[in-house]
Amino acid sequence: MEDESATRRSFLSRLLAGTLLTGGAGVFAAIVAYLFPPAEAGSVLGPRRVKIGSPDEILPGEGKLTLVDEEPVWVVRLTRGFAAMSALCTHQGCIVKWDPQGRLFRCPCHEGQFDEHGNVVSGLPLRPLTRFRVGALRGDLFVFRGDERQI
Amino acid sequence: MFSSVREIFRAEWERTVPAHINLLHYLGAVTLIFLLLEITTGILLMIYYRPSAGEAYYSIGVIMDEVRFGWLIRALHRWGADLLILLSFLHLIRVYFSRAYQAPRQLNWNVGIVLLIVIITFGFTGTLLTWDQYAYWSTDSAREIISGVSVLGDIVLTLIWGGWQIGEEVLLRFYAFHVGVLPWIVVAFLFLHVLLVWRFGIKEPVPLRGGRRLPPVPFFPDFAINLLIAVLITGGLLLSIAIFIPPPLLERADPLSPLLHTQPRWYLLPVRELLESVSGGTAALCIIGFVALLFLVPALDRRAAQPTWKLILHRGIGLLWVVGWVFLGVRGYLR
Amino acid sequence: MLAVLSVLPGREARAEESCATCHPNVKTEAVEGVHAKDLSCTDCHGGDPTVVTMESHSVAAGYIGKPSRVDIPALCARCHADPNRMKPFGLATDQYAQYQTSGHGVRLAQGDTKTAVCTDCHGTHRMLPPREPTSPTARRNIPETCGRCHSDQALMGAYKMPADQVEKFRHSVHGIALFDEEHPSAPTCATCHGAHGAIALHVGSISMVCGHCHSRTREYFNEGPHRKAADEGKMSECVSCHGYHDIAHPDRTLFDTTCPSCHPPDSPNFATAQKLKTLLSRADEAVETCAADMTRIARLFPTVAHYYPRLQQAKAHFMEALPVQHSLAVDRVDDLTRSARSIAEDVRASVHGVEQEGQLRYVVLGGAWVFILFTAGVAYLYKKERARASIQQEGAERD
Repeated sequence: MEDESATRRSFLSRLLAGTLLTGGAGVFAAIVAYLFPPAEAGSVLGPRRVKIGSPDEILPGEGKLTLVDEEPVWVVRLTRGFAAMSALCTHQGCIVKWDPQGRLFRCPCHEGQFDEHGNVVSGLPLRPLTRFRVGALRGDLFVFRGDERQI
Repeated sequence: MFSSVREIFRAEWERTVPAHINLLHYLGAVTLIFLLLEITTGILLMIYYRPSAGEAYYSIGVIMDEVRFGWLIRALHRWGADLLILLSFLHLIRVYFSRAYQAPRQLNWNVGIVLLIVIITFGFTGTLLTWDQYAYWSTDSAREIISGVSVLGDIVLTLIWGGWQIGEEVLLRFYAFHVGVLPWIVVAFLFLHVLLVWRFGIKEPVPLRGGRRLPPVPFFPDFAINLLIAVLITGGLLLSIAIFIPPPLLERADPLSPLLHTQPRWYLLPVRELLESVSGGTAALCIIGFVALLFLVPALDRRAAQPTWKLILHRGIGLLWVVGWVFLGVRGYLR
Repeated sequence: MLAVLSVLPGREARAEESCATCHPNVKTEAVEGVHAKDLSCTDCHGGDPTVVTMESHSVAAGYIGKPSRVDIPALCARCHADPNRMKPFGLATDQYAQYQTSGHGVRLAQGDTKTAVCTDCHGTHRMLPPREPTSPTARRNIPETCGRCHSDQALMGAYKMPADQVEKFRHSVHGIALFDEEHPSAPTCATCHGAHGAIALHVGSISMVCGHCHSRTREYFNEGPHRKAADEGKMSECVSCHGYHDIAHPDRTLFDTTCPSCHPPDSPNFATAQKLKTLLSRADEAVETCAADMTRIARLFPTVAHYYPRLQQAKAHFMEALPVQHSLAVDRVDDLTRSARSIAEDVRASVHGVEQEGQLRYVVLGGAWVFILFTAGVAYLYKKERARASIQQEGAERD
């Protein structure tokens, strides 16, 4: 009977050690996974830059509608340089269209109009378009997000 | 060489604890384990946290959303802190009621009080680090209240706040305290605390009337296994809370839109209620008096054998303390 | 009356006027208004300002007292229709000409003194410009000012006109925009009816008025088959479906309530209408359910905030379809609503993916508890075994 008890005890102690080790290994694995840095922190909004292509793609006076973080953004090439602003009309969120002839953004929904700085020129919108910083870096055009300003 | 190592461990292997200890005697050890958990999760959080007013909030977002298990580490750290403080209080109450501060353990009681104050300071400084509306404005309202305490208030504001109004400098200072200064202090005092327990052991509880006094039981495995079970269950509860209740995070701190009527953390509610009821010099005296009284407990209750009425008085005072503190806290909460 | 016209307002600093001695309240009022700087009492009322007795009411000096209503517009026009006088102030001078073409002006010319004249809207002595918020001609106050007569049942009854326009307007989309949202572009009575040239709008002129702000919608309308119907007088461009004073926020029930007034329910035209309705409803629903799901799931898994811009895109496509529907071009509306729907459904799928990933946490928690209870159990059994063994050992030793 003592032997039985002894075998039971040693089995149980081994089992206990085993489970504790497994648990420990699991925790250790989780910590190691934690330590490996995440991919691009894309879902949390903070200061970052997004590549949108080459500056030569956009002819002077023209604009390019692109997606920056899933948000439609107009990048227009003006005489003074590039300008980037949100393509969402500040009235009800329709996507505005750049008119190179009139140098205006026009909203197809209620004919709101914004000038090349994003300021409201006519119509129902009250706030200007959100402007983003845009610049060329090593031959590529970037839009800088995370530090939006409104005039 | 190995024989001497084995000798050291044999001494430990044969360590014993009193036989009649109940569940409450494990509180100290469980508190220790959870303090270690806080330190571990805290260090892990340090890897991704950014201690600047512009980026702190954003970095918490990254930890929650992007880092693998980040949400879990943060939840464990946040709820673990509350659990740690609760366990510390319960441990303190247990030690008081079992009069385990008597000779030769008087120093350990005082070390424990210091540890409690340090742990609460951990909680307070840590709250600001999320830099959300609650963090910002509750810390600011704490500063207001502390500034109403004469002399002591100024010392605290200069030492902990650096004298500044809330802002980038205060955040950095709180962070330095939370991850630099306080951890060293807590580790030093903890080392002393554990050393004293190791040296003097757990106080033999008064045996049940007429009961047979059993011989001490070995630390390994009885105490150790009970401790393991206690830690597993408590840990499981903490894990459940961490997974079911995401740690709160309001919008980013906005210095221009105050959040009025913020409640401090629950363990500070009684303190705030006290400081709001009395002001200036009275408040300072109250605080000094209260802390002094805590430190003097071993000196006031020196004799092991006391007449029954004194024992009842001792229990009564203890109960009064606890009830009074809870009452203050509840009143502060309802305000 | 001719005497009035011969009184030339003095431009130099006037001698202290005596009018205020007996009429102090009027003087107080006048001082607050725009006329205070340049006009004196006698400039409109005539009389002798240097005398402090009743002799100031001297007809010889041009005193007319309170001008009769019929004369008021011409009195004001003495200055306000004179370009040279108004030049320093940069004010237009067409108000009187406009007034004479208005419903009010025409009736006044016919001798109706109950109709509105200048002072009814602009006030008498305390004359405030429209830019001042308390002025009766300030944008937000215009409906109330018009309502002084046009909400008066008794007065309007005599002209066989309704008296509920202001009340209807207040609850309309435009009223809410003007009063509640304080939108600077919201229309007032004057925006559609004209201010000085106010007339009741007729079927032909309404559309031009709506189209001033809703220009794109008008363009789309003109591309569609309803243009011909409007030209032939079978319907009124905007009013037939949307009403005029009580324009409510249009929703898709309009398809069910207004189309049948011309198109029988079994006609192909009505079917087109229903098709448009279905397309728009489906897109709207897709966007709304997606938004609701996101709000719900965002509470536990804030990562879904990442998808808001994409949903906004879906919404933008849907919003763009709303003016387009006025052209009745089903294929264009279909295009836009399809984009909206597909993007919204895409986002919804991704968001649910996040939720499902998150549910994994509860599975992990369950697993953790299994592990905990198992380990605790094993530990407990081990302890029990040891206790049993040591008791047995004690027993053996005692023996």
